[in-house]
Amino acid sequence: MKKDILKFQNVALSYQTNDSEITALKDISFDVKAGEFVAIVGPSGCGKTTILSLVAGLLKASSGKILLEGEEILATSKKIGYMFQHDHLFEWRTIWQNVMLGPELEGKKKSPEIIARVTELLEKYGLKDFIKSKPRELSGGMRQRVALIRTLATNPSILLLDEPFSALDFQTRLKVCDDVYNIIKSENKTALLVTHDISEAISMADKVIILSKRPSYVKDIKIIDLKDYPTPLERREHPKFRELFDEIWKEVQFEE
Amino acid sequence: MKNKKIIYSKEHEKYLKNIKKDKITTLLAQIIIFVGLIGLWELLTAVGALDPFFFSSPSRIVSTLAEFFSSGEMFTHIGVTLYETLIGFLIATFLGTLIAIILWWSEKLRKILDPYIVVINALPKIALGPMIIIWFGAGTTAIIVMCILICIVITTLSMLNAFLSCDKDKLLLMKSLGANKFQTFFKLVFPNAFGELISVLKINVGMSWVGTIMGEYLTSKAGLGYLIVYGGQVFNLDLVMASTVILCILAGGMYFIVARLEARFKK
Ligand SMILES: Nc1ncnc2c1ncn2[C@@H]1O[C@H](COP(=O)(O)OP(=O)(O)OP(=O)(O)O)[C@@H](O)[C@H]1O
Ligand SMILES: [Mg+2]
Repeated sequence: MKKDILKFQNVALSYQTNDSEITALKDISFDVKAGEFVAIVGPSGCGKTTILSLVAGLLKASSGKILLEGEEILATSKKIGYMFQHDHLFEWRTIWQNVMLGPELEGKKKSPEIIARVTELLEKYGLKDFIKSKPRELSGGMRQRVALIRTLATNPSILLLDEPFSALDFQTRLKVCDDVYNIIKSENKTALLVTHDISEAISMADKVIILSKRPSYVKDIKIIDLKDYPTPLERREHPKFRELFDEIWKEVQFEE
Repeated sequence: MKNKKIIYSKEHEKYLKNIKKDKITTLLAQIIIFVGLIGLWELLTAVGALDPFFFSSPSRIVSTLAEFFSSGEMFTHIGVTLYETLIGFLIATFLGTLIAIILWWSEKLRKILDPYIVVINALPKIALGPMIIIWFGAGTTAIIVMCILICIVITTLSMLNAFLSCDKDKLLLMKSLGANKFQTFFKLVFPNAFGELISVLKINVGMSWVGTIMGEYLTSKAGLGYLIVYGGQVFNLDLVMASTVILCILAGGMYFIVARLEARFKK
């Protein structure tokens, strides 16, 4: 049995605004094991991004506990790598300067270990020739890979992915989905993926957490076992895929 | 570097040719308008339809310029105005950006100062002229201060706006990577606003000339603004026009330099 790397225990969160209080999360509990790929799905505005912000230490829970490797999350941490919907590459920096942003902020820009690891990542994922290029010279898929390597450069133990493919067109999306999945798996990272797209969740995750409408609670957690098909793209052809899709779709769709 | 010898298709050649043709016709039209207007002006004054005493004329402007340049007097006036404008421009851009940085840094300060900034921005700066002269004395310093006053508010507001318009997710990204405020500013917010800084420079080129000439109208013993005011007072329209022509050339030149700078950084 692998150990829990992330644990949510009855977490609630309300946003305070001038004219009201918005309860985004009512009661969220789940856990993520080391090396696991977990997807969160749920209706729009139910609080998926909020969950990731909590893990990243950008927000504080109103009640409940969030444990990262057994310790409560109090501030942003190097153990967390956050990847957003858009790649957010800095246009004025080269690809190399972009992926080295994290180490640079820690004052480790010159660390030979990090340089070696980042170089290896860029090489392995087909970006070596673009080290000196500016982001605008790259395709959408390549940019997303650069963003992932930037996230990996600080060697986080858990990756947070907030709809990282939704800005891409469908074809690119399937391809980048495969790429990102392979990178995360071969680097042995734990990942928490937020998505609108149920197919994407099923094809990538070991476990799908289904959230209710806002104020949200965990409606169901589905274990996905399609591992006999190695890649997300192939898993879309898995005989059990359709059935899983229908089950989850119904749960997301119908509120009692 | 890449090999520049690319062979174009026929269609592309045609396309390039059309662009070139377009450029040439535009330039030609510009020249025709310029020459035409000057010619018309000269003609109308020569036949007496316009009184050169009130409207000067191109030939009189040229001879005035020749006279002022050959005596060396023009160089002194150009030097004085150019000096005031450049110093005013540089100080205003630098100080304005600095104030914008401070206001970006502290939201509290920004909120407190907001009404003051609104009022200062709305105030016609020329109204402060007499005060400036009393405080800084009649002379170059007062003119430079006038120039700074005119440029600095717009610089501060534009730069602050550019700093504040930085993408929220990019800020979160920096935060999630553990960046402190200093790093966030210099590695994200400032480079992100660089395009705005260039357009502020462009605006300030124009504004600093306005400020300096205004200052020279108020108080001066030399400079192009002085020549224009003096020419106006003694009804020497030739001198007024000649100084204006020089002013156009200088302001245009300074704008051109900034535009070149922009092109270089955009690469
Ligand atoms: N800073 C904020 N202040 C007030 N309310 C907020 C804030 N951020 C989010 N909310 C509200 O909290 C709820 C959850 O937001 P969140 O962004 O987590 O949803 P989401 O599931 O990620 O939505 P989407 O699918 O659209 O990305 C939404 O109803 C939103 O309006
Ligand atoms: Mg969201």
